[in-house]
Amino acid sequence: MTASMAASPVRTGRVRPQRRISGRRFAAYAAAVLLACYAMLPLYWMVITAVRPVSELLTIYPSWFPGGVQFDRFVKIWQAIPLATYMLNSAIVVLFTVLIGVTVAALGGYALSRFEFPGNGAVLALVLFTQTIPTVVLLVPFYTLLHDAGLINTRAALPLSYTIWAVPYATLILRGYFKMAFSRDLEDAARVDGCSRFGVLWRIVFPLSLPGLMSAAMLIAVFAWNEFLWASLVASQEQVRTVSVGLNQFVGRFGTNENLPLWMAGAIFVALPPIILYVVAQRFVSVGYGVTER
Amino acid sequence: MTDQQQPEARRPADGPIVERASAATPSRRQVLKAGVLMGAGALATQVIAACAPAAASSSPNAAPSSAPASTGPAPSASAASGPSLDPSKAVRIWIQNYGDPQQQADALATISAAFKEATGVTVAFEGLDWATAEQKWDLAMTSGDLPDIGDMFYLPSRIVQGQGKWGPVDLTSNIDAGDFGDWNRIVNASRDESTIDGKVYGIPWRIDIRAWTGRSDMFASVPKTIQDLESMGLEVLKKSGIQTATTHFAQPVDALHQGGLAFGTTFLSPDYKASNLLDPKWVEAANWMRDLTTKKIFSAQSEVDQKFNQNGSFYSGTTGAVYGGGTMVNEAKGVAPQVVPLMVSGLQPAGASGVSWSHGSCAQWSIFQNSPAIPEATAFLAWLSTDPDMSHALNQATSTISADTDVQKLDKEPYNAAFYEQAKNIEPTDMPIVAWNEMRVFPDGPLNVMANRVWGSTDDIATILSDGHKAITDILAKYP
Amino acid sequence: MEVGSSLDRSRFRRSIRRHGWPLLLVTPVAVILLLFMYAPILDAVRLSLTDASLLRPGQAQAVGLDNYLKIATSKEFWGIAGQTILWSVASVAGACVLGVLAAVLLTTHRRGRPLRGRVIIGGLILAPFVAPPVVSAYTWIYLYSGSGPINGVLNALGATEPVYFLGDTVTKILGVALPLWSMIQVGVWHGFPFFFLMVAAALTSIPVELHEAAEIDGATGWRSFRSITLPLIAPVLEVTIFLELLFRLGGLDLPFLLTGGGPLGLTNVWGVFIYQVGFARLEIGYGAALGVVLFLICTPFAIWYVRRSRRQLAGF
Repeated sequence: MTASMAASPVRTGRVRPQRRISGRRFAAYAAAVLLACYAMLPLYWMVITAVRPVSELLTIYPSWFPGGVQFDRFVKIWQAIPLATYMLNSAIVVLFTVLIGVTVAALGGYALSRFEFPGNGAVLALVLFTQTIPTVVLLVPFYTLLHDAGLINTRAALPLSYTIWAVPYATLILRGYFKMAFSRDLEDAARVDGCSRFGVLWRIVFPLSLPGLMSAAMLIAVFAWNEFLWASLVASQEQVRTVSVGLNQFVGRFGTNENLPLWMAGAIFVALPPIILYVVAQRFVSVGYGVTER
Repeated sequence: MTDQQQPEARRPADGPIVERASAATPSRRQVLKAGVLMGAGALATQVIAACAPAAASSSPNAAPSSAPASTGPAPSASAASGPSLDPSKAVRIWIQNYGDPQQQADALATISAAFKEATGVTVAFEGLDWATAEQKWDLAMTSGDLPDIGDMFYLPSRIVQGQGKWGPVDLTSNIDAGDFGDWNRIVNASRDESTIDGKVYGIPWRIDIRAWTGRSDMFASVPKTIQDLESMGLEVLKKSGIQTATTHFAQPVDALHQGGLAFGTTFLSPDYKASNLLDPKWVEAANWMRDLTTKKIFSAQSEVDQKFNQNGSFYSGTTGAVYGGGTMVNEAKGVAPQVVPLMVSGLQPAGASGVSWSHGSCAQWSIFQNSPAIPEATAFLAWLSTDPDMSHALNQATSTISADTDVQKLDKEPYNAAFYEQAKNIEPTDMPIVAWNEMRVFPDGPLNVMANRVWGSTDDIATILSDGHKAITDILAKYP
Repeated sequence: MEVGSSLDRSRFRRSIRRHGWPLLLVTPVAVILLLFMYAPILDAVRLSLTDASLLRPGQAQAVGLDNYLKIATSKEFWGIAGQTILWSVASVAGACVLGVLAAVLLTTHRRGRPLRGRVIIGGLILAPFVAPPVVSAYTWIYLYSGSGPINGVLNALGATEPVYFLGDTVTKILGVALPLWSMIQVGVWHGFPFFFLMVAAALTSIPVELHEAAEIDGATGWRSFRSITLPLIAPVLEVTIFLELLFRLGGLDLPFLLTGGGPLGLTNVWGVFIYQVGFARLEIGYGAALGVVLFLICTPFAIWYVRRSRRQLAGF
């Protein structure tokens, strides 16, 4: 801090020594860009591997810039594996999981946030406690449960499982959201005017809480789309297989795929929906990392 | 703020809020009913969705009425064509993913289409990746959630796991009736592997013989002995881009097996009832393998790193040969055509005995006892195995070689000659005992662990062998 | 007592009328949790007292606490425990640092002028978070491979031997095997967007004026961060660190896909181990016992978290 700055009157506090600012701004900018590059590094390689000729991969130390570009593998992948089936299966799983999961979590979160009733504390404790249980603990008993119910490799297995796992987390998020996002006044006024409880929920709370619901829905959707290990255990049959399992199965005989560009093309298609979903949801939701103007 | 009770009959007052909560607000009871219906509807939809596709491919164990009570003979199948087949049935087949997935998918599609045209029966292949195949089969064999036909390995295990309810069908009567062609045209070792207690439980369609594949730009010729391997390997290491002179293939246990065979020893006693790991020849063999690994003639990475690209390193020239690999030429043609002219196959380098020994196994098509489409499945297998061209196409697409000598004759590929030659001196890769499954269980079965320790650690060899011996003995004790 | 009981009944009825609605709303959540989370845990306890194996179906025998004894004396288990803790702590630490850094860089306003392009950069930073683990893992395997891009860079910088990031069984840095470090790096890469997200959301609620006032008073950069920013994001950070740690302790997808337990088990973590025991070795009795042990280990943390959250949330 220079003496002149310390001495400036507060009302003209926006004195800016130009050189200093640009130095720091440049450093900040560079650091941010570096972090973004770090985050994107594997995705960059995914894209260039998907477009480059196969021969470029059969050299030691492939170059960081593709020598040639081919797009046929983006078509071939749909024939090499039933990618369309996998995507449809994943979409169905996501749809059901989100619908049921968000509904249950929203109702529960709303109840927990607005009402004092016997059991509020208990349920809240239950939910919080569940958040800390690693899902691995449940692998074996859950598998035997599904198996005894004859649900392995059926369409119900994954939505059921994912809903159960997603509900605690989503309930907490939505509870917090309901507490923060808008006060009870609107609802109370509506009740005073004679609106039924369900009406309040449906006509007032639901429309106003869409951003929060979309947030929760998006998180659940991304989770359900990306999940791999559980899906490989209970939904591995080709008809119900999801994209993550399908991609993994397409990896060749011993943990690698000889036709890596083809695999990467598939990987890009599989990775796109959650990315698109996230971008779209951002617009809806403005998760506020400085997006909203001050 | 407390929850105020308001009588429902009260008229809504005027106000902006209330415009939304209009006079058409349904009563609480109606709403509850609607909610229950919605919920029930959603649940019903899900249940229907769950049942519908599952019904089409439902696990046959839901209605095991056709399952015979014991490992008795299967109902003999009618001829491959003809009105006795039910075209509404679908034959589901689980086949492991070999070589190039695209090629395999194309070939399987051709086969399905041809059979459908011939008989109207649909055949649906489902690919299993090797990384999870063992687990998937194990789980399936314990629950009976099986397809109609399977691409089998560890056949004896499966018979026991089938518990007489959903194990492989006994095809002996069909074979005797000639449904699958002349049984004697199948390679001797494969016939043995498919016959347990005098009954035949599967039709071999491929043999997996492990032999040598080298690059002519690295190894000037095929090393005949293990001494040649070492001296030539050291030369290869001087070339640019080379990381190790050779790479291994498949599981660590397979290369360990190769090393043992080079020194004239194997894992189990001849009657498969006891561990042979305390044989002093194993100490020699293990030390040799470790020595060559240290010298970078063998590749530690191709053993200890499950995700290491074994064939890929061969194609890209970071290694000069595959020691104990399967036939790779078809895969190479698809993925690395520029390497194909350089590929030279040969027998495994021989040890002190002067005779090249290797291991190999066959894979069989088996039909499962609880399949609802046994006649259709049998007809399909009969059709496929008696059509050499179709079988040959499948072998080519999966980069495998056939156990059927008629089909072998169609193989004009000079590269494969060495494998047929090696097939004369092989030991089974998979011991024909139930316990082998557990010894081999991917990836941390005792044999794989032993191999990893030999190649990837500095642990004392004698300790590694005695630990392995103990583990094997314990497993054998579980299966008296 | 008659008068008392009728009073009780009507009080009960009033109570239902008063609380019926929220109780109804919250029932699905409660049912799901009790039936599908806590009941299976009890079932896991039951299984853990047997030697059930899927390879020998129907022959499960009760073995009492044998499985637990096996765990207590198993070198394998404790080695894996150490690796799991190390992986969790290191990758969370790294992710936290990078995530906070990213959040600070992209949200703090320098004299009222935000960093340009921060929306795009912020979006790119979230990529690891939304990419499917299958895709990320195999891509990192490729990047790390012996003849892959990273080794290409090392080679260009003069290295003569390739570095086997995921397969090296011999190299140890600070006593930790190289593959584990590689896995930690992937964990950092995968985790820092989440920290970024959480901290950035919290940071945007700090008024700009606070920073400006601090700057005028003589605090900039690190001082400003430590005295103003850090305390304000501490609650969010605490929760996020806690949750991410727990998530990794049971972490499964990424380690499994990256190394599957690693060369010679050097990158084996609890999650993968339980999976291997239960679904590769098919020893579901032992696998259930491992799960129960993991649950018991997490319980004190869970209780702490519940208590702390309820205190916080109570005033909320």
